[in-house]
Parts: sequence; C-alpha cells; structure tokens
Amino acid sequence: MDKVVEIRNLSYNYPDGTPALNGVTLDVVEGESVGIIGPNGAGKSTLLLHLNGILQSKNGAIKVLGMPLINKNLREIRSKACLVFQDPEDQLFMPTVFDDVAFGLVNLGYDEGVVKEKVGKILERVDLSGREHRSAHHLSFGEKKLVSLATALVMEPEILLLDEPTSNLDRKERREIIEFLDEIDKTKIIVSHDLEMIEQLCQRVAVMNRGKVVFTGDREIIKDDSKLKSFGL
Amino acid sequence: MKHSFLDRYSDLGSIIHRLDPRVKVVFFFILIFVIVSTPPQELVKFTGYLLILLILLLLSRIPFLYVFARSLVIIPFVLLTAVFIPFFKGGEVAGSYNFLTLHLTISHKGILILQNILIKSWLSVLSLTILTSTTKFSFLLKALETLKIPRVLILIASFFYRYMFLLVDQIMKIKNARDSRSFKKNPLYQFKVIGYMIGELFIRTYERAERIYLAMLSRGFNGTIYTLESFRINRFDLCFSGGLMAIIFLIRLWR
Repeated sequence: MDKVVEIRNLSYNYPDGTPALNGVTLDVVEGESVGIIGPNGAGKSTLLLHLNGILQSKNGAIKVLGMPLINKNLREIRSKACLVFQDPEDQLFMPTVFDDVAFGLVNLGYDEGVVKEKVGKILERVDLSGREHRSAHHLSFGEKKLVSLATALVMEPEILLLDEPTSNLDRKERREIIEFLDEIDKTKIIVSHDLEMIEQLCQRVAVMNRGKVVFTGDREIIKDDSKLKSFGL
Repeated sequence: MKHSFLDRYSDLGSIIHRLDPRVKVVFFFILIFVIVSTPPQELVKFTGYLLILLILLLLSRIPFLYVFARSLVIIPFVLLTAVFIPFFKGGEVAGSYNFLTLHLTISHKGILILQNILIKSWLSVLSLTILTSTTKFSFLLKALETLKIPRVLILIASFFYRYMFLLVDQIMKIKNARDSRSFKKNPLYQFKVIGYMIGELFIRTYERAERIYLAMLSRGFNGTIYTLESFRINRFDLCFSGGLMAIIFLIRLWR
C-alpha cells in the first residue's frame, strides 16, 4: 500500500517558545483511517495543522501524497488534504452556506456551472438541500458541523483531516456524523477525545503525549484502560 | 442564542423582496440622491417621496412600526449635531430669549436648515431601512459587489455580518458569567470589570480571526475572494423600478 502521509522526526515550538511537537514520526497508508488520541496539550491539533502546511516547521520532514511539504506544493496539497476545524464557527465564514461550501472550489478556479453542481450534490449528501441561502448562523450546531464537513468534501480530497468531528454534538447528531464519516471512502486522520468514535471509525490508533507519538497500533488499545492511563489519558 | 436584528423580514416573498437586488440598490441610491438634492422649502415634494416609500412599504408587507422604529435611529445623531444651527445662523430673527446673562436668538434660516436636515436624513434612512429589510444581507453584498463597490469594504461587511451575532453571544456569555459571580455593587469596581470584559472580548475575537484565516488558507485562499454571481434582471424589475423612478423624477422636477 502507498504511504499517503509520511512524517519524519517533526518538531515544532510555538512562537512564544512553548514546545508543541517533539520528534513526531508517523506514517499513514492509502485508504486507512487513523485516530490520533491523547490528553489535552499533547500536540494533536498542532500536528494536524502541519499536514496541510498551515504550520510549517524547519525541524523534521513531511511528505503528503509523495510531495514534500514546501511552499511550491502547498496549493496542490491543500486541494488534496482537506482540514476541517473543530469549531464550525471558524470553518464557516461566508455569508451563506452555498458560498461557504463553494469557497474552496472557486479558489481552485472551477467554472460556475461545475461549482453549482458539486455544491448541490454535496449538500444533498449531507441532507441539507434547500439551505443554500441560509446564513451559517441560522443552522443548528449539528448542521453546522455537517456543512463544515461538506466544505472539505466538496473539494474531493484524497485525505480528510478532522479535528474533533463529534465534539459538542448531541447523541443523535453524533451518531449521524459517525455514520456519515464511516461511509466516506477516503484516507482519514481524526483527532479526538471521543474514543468510542475512534474505535468505530479507525483501524489504527496513534497515541500522543507531550508532543510525542508514544504508541501506534491496533485500535484494541482503546479497551486497555491501564495502558491508556500510562499514556496520560 | 438566536438573533436576527439586521434583516429580520428579508425572507418574506413580496414583489419588493423579489426585485433584483442590484436594481433595488441602484433605485434606492438614486432615490436618496433625489431626496437630498430637493430644495428645503418644498415640503410637498418631500411628502411625495414619503408617499412612494409608504407604498413600497405596503407592497413589501413588512410591519410598518418595525420600519418606522428603525428609521428613527438616526434622529438622535442628527439632532445632536444640528440642533444648535438655528441659534448660530444669521438672518431674519424668529425669536429671541434671555436666560440670565445669556442672549439667544433663533433665525428663520436656521430653522429651515434644521428642518431640512431632519427631513432629508429621516427619508434617506427610511429608504435604506426598506432596502435592507426587503433584501437578504448576502444578496445585498453581492449586489454591491457587482456594482463595483471595492471588495475590501464588502469583505469587511460580510465578515461583520457573519460574526456580529457570535460577538453578541460572546458578550452575553461573559455578562452572564460576571452576573452569576458578581456580588459587589460598587460602580467603580463594575467599571473595572467592564474593562476586563472588553479586553477578554478583544483577545477572543483576535484569536478567532486567526483561526478563520487558517480555515481560509486550508481551502486555498490566496488573497482574493471570488464569489459566483447568480442574479438575473427580468422585465418586471426594470418596468417597476423604471416606473417609480419616473414618478420620483417627476416630483423632483415639478414646479
């Protein structure tokens, strides 16, 4: 199987000097779903922000779909590895749902007709047809999360990078999001505290603690409470 | 928390709502220009404009009181700046008063100017209120964009519209958090707390702006926002606004 993400010895300090990542090495192969778990402040979200080049570190190397993560490749990488932020209020910034979902496509330079067709299809898929002209503000939280997903999915990425896709959802919304994610046949890297969801969606789990990947392996680890505790969870 | 204080009735489907937003924007701006350029003493003409606005309001099916209350928002500002004009303008004296050592005179010319400013500003704001309550904000932005208003301004307005509600939510949350733990009623202390609240709000907003920028970057943002245009002007739009425009010009040019 092809490696779609290769992270080698990645370290990163925040501008104020706080170390966030400390020698992370991780591979993700095509088509698999990897769950990244770990205590707050372990560096999970920071790692995710590196994978489409929003944060760039001089220490260590990342390859996405075989392309080294350098400025020249950013456009290509960002169109193929899409990041969905935890807070939909950050992800949805345009005046209407349609504009938000279309944003990435329009930036990629698609024609108007193509954009409309793709946006229409994806909104149908997340069951939100007819909400195109609503403001994101007028959607429920679950709907906002779905539209956030749609903004990434519409770009037909090869890799989905998801930061806490189930946070703050009620039971029903959470179940729907999980079912929806399960149907998506793409490489997924999911950062979350929702271990049950990770267990359902991901075959492989990486545990992070204090800026390091301390464990990678089968999802069975989630059932092993004492081991999780030893990793600071 | 839900708010919709900007374009509350913009979802109604009246003929005014269905007019092409670009046509509406142009129409209302011309109307305002005509109102502002009308000589101040011609009260009949102003009544004519008011009648047209009322007809538009009636057709749009928006509650009259809602629009009326909103249109009054401008009055305090206008009064504050213009109320002293009658005292300072020279000319024929309408009346003079003595308060202790203070001697005040009011001139006819001054009163006319005050009346002029009040009527024109109120009619203009009334027009804008009708425009904004019959047009969805996103449509309004798009209309302005196609009318070649600078993109930066439209972006600022667009982000403002998207995040204004969130900002209000955040203020309310901070306020609730304060109220549920606040025991001191000392006003000086309260001021201090309000200072902290503003600081907190600033930091939260700043950080959110940063995250939004990251979200934009990850979807290929490269400095310019492209949007798709989806308006179509039909014959009714042109006839309706053209007809009204003709009436307005007729009123304006009538001797």
